[in-house]
Amino acid sequence: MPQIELYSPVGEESPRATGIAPFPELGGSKIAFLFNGHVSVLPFWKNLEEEIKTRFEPSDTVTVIKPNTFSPASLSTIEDLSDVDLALVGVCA
Amino acid sequence: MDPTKSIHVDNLEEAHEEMYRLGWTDGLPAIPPTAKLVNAALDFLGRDPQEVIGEVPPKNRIATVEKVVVNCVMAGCLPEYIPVVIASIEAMLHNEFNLNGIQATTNCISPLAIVSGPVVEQLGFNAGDNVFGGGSRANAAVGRAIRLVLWNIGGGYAGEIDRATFGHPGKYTFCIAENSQDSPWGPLHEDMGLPADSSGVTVFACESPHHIATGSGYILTATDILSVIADSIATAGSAAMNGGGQVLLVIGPMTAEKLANDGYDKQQIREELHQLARKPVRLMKSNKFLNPEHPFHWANFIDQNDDDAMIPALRTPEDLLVMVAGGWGSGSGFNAVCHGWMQAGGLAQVRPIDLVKA
Repeated sequence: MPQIELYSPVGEESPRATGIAPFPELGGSKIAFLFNGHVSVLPFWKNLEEEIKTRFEPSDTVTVIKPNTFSPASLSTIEDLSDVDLALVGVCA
Repeated sequence: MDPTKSIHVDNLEEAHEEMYRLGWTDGLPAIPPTAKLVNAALDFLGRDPQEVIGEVPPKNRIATVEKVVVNCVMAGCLPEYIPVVIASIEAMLHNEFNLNGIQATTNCISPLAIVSGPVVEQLGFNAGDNVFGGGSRANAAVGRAIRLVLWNIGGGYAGEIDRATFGHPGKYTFCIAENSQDSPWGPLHEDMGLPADSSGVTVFACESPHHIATGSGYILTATDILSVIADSIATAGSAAMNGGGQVLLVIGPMTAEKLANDGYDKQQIREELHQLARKPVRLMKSNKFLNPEHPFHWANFIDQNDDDAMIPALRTPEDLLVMVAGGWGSGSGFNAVCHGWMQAGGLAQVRPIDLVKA
C-alpha cells in the first residue's frame, strides 16, 4: 500500500542557537547571584546557588535578592557587585 | 529521528494520531500536511521554498517559506491566504514586538492579526458580525496558521517555554479584519504608516477582547459614550494602568457613526480618551504589580503621595489604536477593548500585504 508523506512543520535550529559558549572555568573565582524575589522561584534560586557552589567551588559568593521581579537592580547594587568575576542574573517571574 | 524531516504514514487516521504524538499541534486537530497539499501551495506562491523569512523565538528556529506553508496547510489556509501569514510573521519579528517575551511570559497576551484594506474583501475576511468569533475560513485559518508557526517554528510550547498563567482562547486563533465599509474614518494601516489604499496586516499582542456596551443607539452625547469606554480602558488591574503601553479600541459601526456624526475623528477620540481614562493614585497605589522603581511605573510622572492625582491609562493619546469592526448590533452600541502588555512588547507593527497575482 502506498504511504502518505507528511511534511514536518517543525523549523530547523538556527546555527546561532547551537553556538552557545561553554560555561567558563569558575574554580577559585568570585561569583555574584542577582536574583528576583518572586516567591515562585526562590526555591529554585537556592538550589541553583548550592549546585554552583558544590560543582564549581568558587572562592567567594555574594547573593542579592531583588524586592520585585520587575524592578531593575539599583545602581548601588550593581556597583557593589563590580568586583566579581561572574554575575549570574536570574530573571524569570 | 530528526523532527524537522518528513514522515510517512499508511492512512489519514494514522496521520492525525502521529501529528498529536509528534506535538505538531496544540490540541486542536489539523489538516495533515501532505506533500501534495504543500507542494501545490508552494507552486501557487512561486517563491523559493528555502527562502528565509526569519528566526522565530524563543527557539529561534528558521522560518523558511516551506515551513510556513506546511503550517498554513495544517491550519486550513487556502494558498491565497499565505501572503497574509508571511506578512504577519515579518511584522512579529520586529524588535519592538519582543516576540521572545510574548512567547514566554506569564502574562496572557497573544499576537492578534488585524487585516485591513482591499484584501479583506478579496480574500473573504469577516469584519462584521462575530468578528472575534467563528464563521470565516480566512479569519480562522490565518489566525490558526500564525499560532502554529509560533508553536512549531517558534517552539512556544504551552507549559514549557510558554509560561502564561492563564493564556486566553485567542492563543488558538486570533485574527480579525477591519470593517472599512462601515467606518467613517481612514483604515488602521494608514494610522500605522501605510498608504490608505493599500492592504496591510497589523499585529498587536493583547488580551482577549472585553465587551463594552455604551448605549450608542440611544440619545447620548459622544462624551457620554467615551466616558463609558474610558472606564473600561482604565481598569485597575490592567497592564495599561500599571505599566502603560498600547490599548486597542475596536469601535462597533453604530458607535462609530454616532461619534463621527458628533464631529469626532480618530485623533479626537484618542485625545479625549487620554483625558478620560484615568484612575486616582489612592486606588492605584494599592496595586503592587509593579514596583514604583520600575521604569514603566506611573510613579515616574505622577506624585505617588498625592492621593487625588489622576493617572492616565493611556500615557499618550497615540497609545490608543482605533479601528472599526463588528456588526451593527442592537441599541447598546457594542465595542471592544483589548489591553496590551505594558511597554514590555507586543507594540503594534504593520506590514503591507502583497497578494500573489493569479
